[in-house]
Parts: sequence; C-alpha cells; structure tokens
Amino acid sequence: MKDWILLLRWSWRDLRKYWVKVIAIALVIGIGTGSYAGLTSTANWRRESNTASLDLLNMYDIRLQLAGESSMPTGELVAAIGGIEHLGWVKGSEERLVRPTQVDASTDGKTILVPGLMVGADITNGGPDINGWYIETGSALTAADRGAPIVLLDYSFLAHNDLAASGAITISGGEELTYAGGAMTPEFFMVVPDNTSTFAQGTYAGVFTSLETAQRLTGMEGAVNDLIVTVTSDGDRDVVAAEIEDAITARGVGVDVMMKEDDPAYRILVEDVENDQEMFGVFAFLIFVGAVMGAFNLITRLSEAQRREIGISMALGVSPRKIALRPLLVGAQIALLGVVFGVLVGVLIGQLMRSVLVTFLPLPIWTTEFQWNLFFWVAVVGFVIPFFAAAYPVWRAVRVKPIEAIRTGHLAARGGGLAPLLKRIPLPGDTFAQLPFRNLLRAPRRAILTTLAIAAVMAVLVGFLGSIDSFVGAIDRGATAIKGDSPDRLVVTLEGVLPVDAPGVAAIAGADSVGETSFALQIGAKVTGDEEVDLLVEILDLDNELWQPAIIGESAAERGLILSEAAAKDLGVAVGDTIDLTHPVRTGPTTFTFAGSEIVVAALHENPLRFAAYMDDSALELVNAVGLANIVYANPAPGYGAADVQRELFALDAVSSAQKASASADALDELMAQFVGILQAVALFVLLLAVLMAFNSASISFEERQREHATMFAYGVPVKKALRMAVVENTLIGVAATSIGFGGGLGMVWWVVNVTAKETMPDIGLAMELSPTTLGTIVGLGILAVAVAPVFTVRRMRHMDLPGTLRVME
Amino acid sequence: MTTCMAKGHTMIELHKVSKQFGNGVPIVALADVDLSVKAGEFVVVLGPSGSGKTTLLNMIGALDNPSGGSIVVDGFDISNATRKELFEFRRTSVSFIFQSFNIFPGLTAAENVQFGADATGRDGVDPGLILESVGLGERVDQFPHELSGGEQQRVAIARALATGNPVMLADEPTGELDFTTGVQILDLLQQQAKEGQAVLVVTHNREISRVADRVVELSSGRIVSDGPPAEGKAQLAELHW
Repeated sequence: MKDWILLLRWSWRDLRKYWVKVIAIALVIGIGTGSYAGLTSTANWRRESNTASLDLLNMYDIRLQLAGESSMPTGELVAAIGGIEHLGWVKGSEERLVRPTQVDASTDGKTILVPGLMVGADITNGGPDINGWYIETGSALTAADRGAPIVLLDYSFLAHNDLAASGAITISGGEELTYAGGAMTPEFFMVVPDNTSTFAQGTYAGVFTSLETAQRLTGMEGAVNDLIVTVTSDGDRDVVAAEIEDAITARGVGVDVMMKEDDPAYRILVEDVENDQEMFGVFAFLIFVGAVMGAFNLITRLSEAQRREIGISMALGVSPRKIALRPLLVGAQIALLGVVFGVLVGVLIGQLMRSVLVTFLPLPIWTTEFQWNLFFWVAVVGFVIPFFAAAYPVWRAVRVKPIEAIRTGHLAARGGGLAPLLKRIPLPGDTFAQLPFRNLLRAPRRAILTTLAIAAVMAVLVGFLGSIDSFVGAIDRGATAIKGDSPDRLVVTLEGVLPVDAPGVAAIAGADSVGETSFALQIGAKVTGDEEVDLLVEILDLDNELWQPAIIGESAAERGLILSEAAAKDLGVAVGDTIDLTHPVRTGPTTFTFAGSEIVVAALHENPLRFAAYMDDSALELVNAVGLANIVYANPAPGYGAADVQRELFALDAVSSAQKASASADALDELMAQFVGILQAVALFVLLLAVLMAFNSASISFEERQREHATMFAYGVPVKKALRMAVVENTLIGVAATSIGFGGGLGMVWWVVNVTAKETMPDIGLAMELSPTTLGTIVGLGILAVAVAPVFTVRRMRHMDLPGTLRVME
Repeated sequence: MTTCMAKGHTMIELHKVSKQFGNGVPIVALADVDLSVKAGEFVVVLGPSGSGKTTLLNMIGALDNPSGGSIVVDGFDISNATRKELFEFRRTSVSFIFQSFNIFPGLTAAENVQFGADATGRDGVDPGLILESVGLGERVDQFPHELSGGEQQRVAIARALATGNPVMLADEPTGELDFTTGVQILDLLQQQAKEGQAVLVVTHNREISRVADRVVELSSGRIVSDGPPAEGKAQLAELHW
C-alpha cells in the first residue's frame, strides 16, 4: 500500500512540475473534443428544432395555388376536396387568399419599403390550424379581428429591421394597418421570395391577417386562391394531390401543386441540414484529428522524459504495472482536465453556433441542449488518448533491457533520424544555420506529427475562412454586377405586363424623384443542356444608357442569350453554342403559353446568380410582347435618393414594388457580416489550438535540448542566437504545416464551393476565393504564431542553471 | 591552430575565491581559493566528490559566479562582469570539455568541430585537419551515434580546439571512457598544453594527476596542496587504472 501512496505522491509532484504543460495539453484536447461536439451538435439541434417547430405549426403536406390571377369563391376549394375518392386520407384543409403586396414599414429614422406577401386565413380560432402563426412578439389576432385593419408581420422581418413588437404599416393602395405582433409560420421559416434569393427577411415582408381583411384589402371580396392540405400518416400524398388537382381543374381553373418538400423554405430548412452537417462534420473532424495528433505527440514526449527513471525502476525490479502508473497518472490528469475543458469549449462553441442558427433560421422552438450523447463518445476518445500517449513510451521503455534504459552519455546516444540525409546536401550558412534543419530531421516522427497536427487545424482555418471569402466574394460580385454604372438604380416591378406607354407606366418616368428610366420584360424560362436550368430572363435594350449587364470577355453575337457562368457550366455550353430555350409566348392581354426556341449563347455575364439571364429587346418578338414591360429601371433624379423614389412610386397603382437593385445583395451582405463574425470566433478557437500546440512543442523541445543549449551557452553562444535557432526550427514547422494546411484547406474550400454549395445553393455560382485578409491571417498566424512560440522559453533559457544542466547525465 | 599566449604568461588568476550555496545554512563549496595557471601548463585539480573541484572549474569558465574574491582569466576580470561580457568571455577565452561530451547529435563530427569555430566567429578553420590531429581523420562525416565514446570525446576536444581559445577546461574528461581511450585523451590534452594552452583538468582519478605539470588538491573547498606530482611527472605509458 505504501508504495502506491508513494507513486501517487510522486505523480502529484509531476503534476506540479508540469502543470503549465498539463493545462496546455488538456486545452488542446478540450478544444479538439469541444469543437467537434459543438460543431456537430448543430445537426441534431436543427433536426429536433425543425421537427418540433413544423409539428407545432402543423405545416401543410400539399399546397394548391390557383394559376395566375384566378380565384374561387370562399368554400369552393374545400368543397372540391369533398368529392375526391380518397377523402379519408385528407386530415385537414384550409382555404387562403395569398397575394403579393407592398409594405411601407418606415420608421422615423429608416425608410423600409419592401415587397411582400399577404396571407389571409381563417382566424376564427385565433389563427390557421394548418401553417399556424406562432406569436414571437406582440399579441395574436382573435376572431374579433376578422375584417379589421389589423395584421401580423413576419417576425424575422421585424427582427431584421429592428421594428417594434407592434405598430403601423401601410400597404399597396395606401391603406394604413395596425400590426399586432411578429409571427412565425413555416412558409417564412426561410424567406425565399419567388424562389430566387435566400435570407431575404430584411427585404421581403410576410403580412398575415384574417381572410376577410385580406379579401377587402386586395379587392377580392369573398374569394380565395390557395388551398393547403394535410394528409394522414397512412395516406398517399401524391394520390391525394392528383385527385384534388383534378377536382379543381374540373371546375375550370388551373392549379399549381406543390408538395411540402418542394417548398423552398422547407427544403432549405430541412433537407440542407445534412449538407451543412457534412461540411461542419469535416471541419470538426479535422480539428479533432489535429488535436488528437498534437496531444498524442506532446504527451508522448512528456512521458519519454521519464525514460531513464523507468529504466531505474526496472533495474530495481518494479513491475511494469507500477512503472506505468506514474506516467499514466499524468495522462489521467490531462485526460480529466481535457474533458472538463472539452465541455466548456463545447458549450461555448455551441452557444456561438446557436446564435448563428437563431439569427439565420428563426424558429418557434429551438432545442439546443448540450448533446451529452454526442459528447460522451468524443470525450471517451479525448480521455483515452492521453493514456495511450503516456503508455506508449512506457511500453517502449519496458521492452528494452534495464541497462539500456538507464544508460547515460554516449552509450545512450540516439540515432540521427533522417539527419544523415542532409549530410551530403550542402546548406548555406554556418552550423547555426544547419542545426534547426538537423534537429527537425533527427526526430522525424515527432516533427511530422507536430507538423501534421498544426497542418490539420490550419486546413480547417483555411477551409473556414476560404469558404466565407467565397460566399462573400459571390455576394460582392453579384452586387457589383447588379449596380454597374448606376449603383442607386431601382428596379420597379409593375403590377403586371403593361404597355410601356400606358399612363401608369408613364407616371413612373414622370415622377419628380425619378431620373432616367428604361424598360425590361422579366420572364421565367428554362434552358436544357447537360441539365435543365431555370432562368429569370430580363429582356432589355442592351444599348440603354442606364444599365446593362457586365459581360465577361467578348460577345459572340448581337442577339441571343446572355447567361451566367454558373448556368453555362451546368448546361455544358460555351459562348457561341446554341441551346434550347423554353419560354412563354403571349397569347392574349394577360395570358401566355410556352414555346421552345433555339437560341445562341451570345455572352456570359458577371452576376454569380445562376438563374440571372438577359436577352436584347429583339427577343420581345420571340415572346410576342413588343412594347410591353413588367420592370422599369429607374435612377433617382438629381437631389433625390432611392428612398424618395420608393416613397413616391409606392402610391402609384401600376407599381407592385420598387427596390434598390442591390437591396437583396446588401441585405445578404449584412446578414453575412453577422455570420462571418461568429465563424471568425470559431476560427479563433482553431487558431488558439495551433498556437497551443506550437507553444507546447517549443516548450518540450526546449527541455529535450536543454543540455545542447547549455553547451552552446558554455561556448559563449548568446541566448539570442540559440533562440533564433529555435525560432528557425519552428518557422520550418510553421511553413511546412501552413503549406500542407493551405493545400488541405484549399481542397476543403473546393469541396464546399463545388460540392456542398452546389447542392444547397445551386443558384449561386460560387468561385473559390481567398481574400488578402485571409491570406494574411493564415501566413501571419500559421507561420508567425508557430515561429515565435519559442520566444516564450527565453526566460528559462536566460535563467538556465548551466553547471547543473551540463552535468546532468540524462 | 590555437591562439596561444607565450608560455609562462599567467592565464588564470584566482584570489580569495569563495562560493557558497543555499539560502538557509550555507554550504561552502569553495573557501579562499588562490590559484594561478600559466599558459602551457597542464594542471590537474584533484579531489574527492564534493571537494569543490567542478565548482572551481565552473567559476573559471564563467558558468557560475563566485560569492567572493576575484577571478582573472586571460587578462579579464570575470568576477564583476555583466552577463553579456561573460558570454563574450566564454566565446573568446575558454573552451570546455565535458565528462558526457555534450556534442550535438544532429551534427557530424566535422560539423561539431565547425560549431566551435562558428561559436567564436573564427574563419578559415578546417575541421578535417583538427579531427585528423585528434586521430579522427577518417571519421569526419560520422554522426555522434556512429562513434565510440572515446571518439566522441575526441570530437569534443577537437571542437574545443576549433575555438582557438587559450584556456581549455576539462571536467572529468575520461570519466566515461575505458583506460586505453582515457590515456589517448590525456595525450591530446597534454599536447595542447605543450602548444601553449593553459589546460585545467578536473578529476577524482589520482592516477591522472601523475602526468600533470602541477597537481592542485582540493578538500572541502580548500586547496590542501599545490605543486608537481608527489612522485614526479610520469609518462602516459606508466599509467594504469
């Protein structure tokens, strides 16, 4: 028993001796395990939160929207369901009136004039049963509010624009409404207007009100145009959808059917969890692997320092079990601290990720509990590593004869590792210049492990920052392309397709605040190549002086389709090729049919949005819409700003919305700024990991080479010079690790840009980008931080006990 | 090869040097030591463990500070020198040979010797020639782990020679070597003294003192005798241990 107590006391002294290293290595393990747990927790959180939120608000399974401007009398859509064969599979249904609108939510200091969507539903029970409204702020509507000028606004619109919980807005037509609060509803969990731009919560308003109020405000008294349906768990949704579609069509009205999975909000919310998780998983795994390698290397080196003591114990007949106890106890201390740090880091990173998620994906229910199950297994690995790392040198030591383990001086001299490789390669400089290279090659396993560990975390850093740069770069390129030479240009969306000389349209050009104008017709189209790509084609006068799309390189033809690079790549076409375009052709004042035409790809434009496409105004003949437009580009007149134009045009009947051309890009940029800030905080952890590993490595290297340093000092070599050699050695590690990490990181950025983002955001043509700031951060921190780590040992160098160190045998 | 002073010139001068360790009850390592060593002298400091001989060597080599007294080496008073001056002093005046050699495992024999020259900033030193002079002409490209103990100590001596410094300080240079190799090392050290270096060897091996020009015997930190070997200077071939 006594001997065990002695061993415990001894290990306690070890802990006191190595406490800085023990804490630093435990932090390495903690950051590795905590980052892994924190980053990978998000998938479970999102899955649980999505399910809980969608269940709470009872999202529809099938949505049927009447085509175009069509509507039916209230009750007729529900009545149509009554006649279908599989009525038993229908769990619930609700009629709605859904219409685009404009919202003026301007406050004293800020002009907020945005397009939006008005959703009128039955509020007899306080709100719809399907696609319910969750009141996040303010108060709910009641049955008494039916028909009253009172609405709810989408909560994320309120939050993004810092609007009060309740207040007043004005909508198209000039009617002033009271909004009672901010609500969340599944269709607005992700704000994706017209399936074109994501994260549009700042520039697109959801207005939720009673069916009666919506009918009155839109002038569609007694009408509905939207039906949402839930299906029983044993029901076949496709069958139900087809039967309802037939039933409505039979009443002479066209209908668009959308399943829940096709709803862009649902798709991005639910289906992208796995894609996002894949990305976070790779990042987290690399951080974890880097930390594991780093910790293993450092603990092994720490334990190897006891090699001779192990030999002495063997010579004294101590059993290997007891010999192993001391280093293992140090390992246990590191392991325990590592787990504690891991939980702390995990919670901290989790909180950071939570704030990202809550900002980007506002949901009624966010379940973000610490994922103990997930963390448990990570902690097990984090706990086991120190034991293995500590046991490895013990295992090696007990396998040799005791006499070899306790041998000192020249007899214990170790091999030169790979140093002989350099023997025949003349390096410039004196022996001081050679030593850092030789020292690295003397212990290749150690050097490689240190390098790879730092490289792994550097790869994550490059991957993280590079991905952010690529996203931000795409947004910037989009904003630049859209702004062109008219950065204040507004895109005025008309109430429909109107003659350019119609009085309503002329009123736009005649407004006091409006300067130059030009017209465009925006149509939905489809092109077919290697794959099928949906396009939003703007047909405009390419010679107009207000704005033209910026072309990459030369045009192949004067007429034709101007595609984005992303679309051309996905279609497998180049400039000059001919492709099949399916486009609308006007058949009457408000009716269109679809036709196919062969079109030349005239040029590529700079906008990274894949769906953005342009054609010259000769294409108006192709769609039989000469002299018609649904878009007006307008520059503010001298002395006026964009807000003045928006305010003046808001009152015009012909105007559906007026937005700065760069509004979406600006809003996305603003959102990304928050996102980037938080990801940079995560990147800081990664960086701290690299610095900790470099510091520990430098510190242990210093101890391993104390006698060499002492010999140098005995020969009058200044501390500065010895330190310089250590810095050079670490610089070599830093350069190698950063280079490998840079390569790995670029691979990750490539994967994010070309694989992950392609699946989650197919409509954004991302390109791999690394900003000068990122490059500076990587070089500055990856190389400099690692290089200067030995500076922390300067105090110990200065105060080294030279006589004692020189006489030490071990 | 070495920058030696004329024989007979005083290279090491200690006056009333003392050294105490510990904060509570002080341990006296050296007490009132007076000693002088001339260029070309081969002096052996003899004494049992704990007699203060290594402490004395460390003081002379400016690895440690005396508690009292003065030490002048190569005309430089190191007793009150600054840290920077001590580094400079070690670089230009003394060279060390250690019991456990302390040669750099990452450098070849020639490179270890070159290190000595580089440390002092000497140009034009041919490590091959120096290694040849210590009998390692064929081993210049070997790494330390490829050399025997005696060879490693000879590399350490060659490194000390490469500094060109006038004072050579050796702490138990044969301590880890067998008899034959130990004698070879002593031969090398004797040669350096003959060439004009002041060579101070610390040992507990009384047999080694027989080949010294002078033997300084220490006991409990005090010099108890100082003079030629009691039985006259012996030849290396007469040694045995």
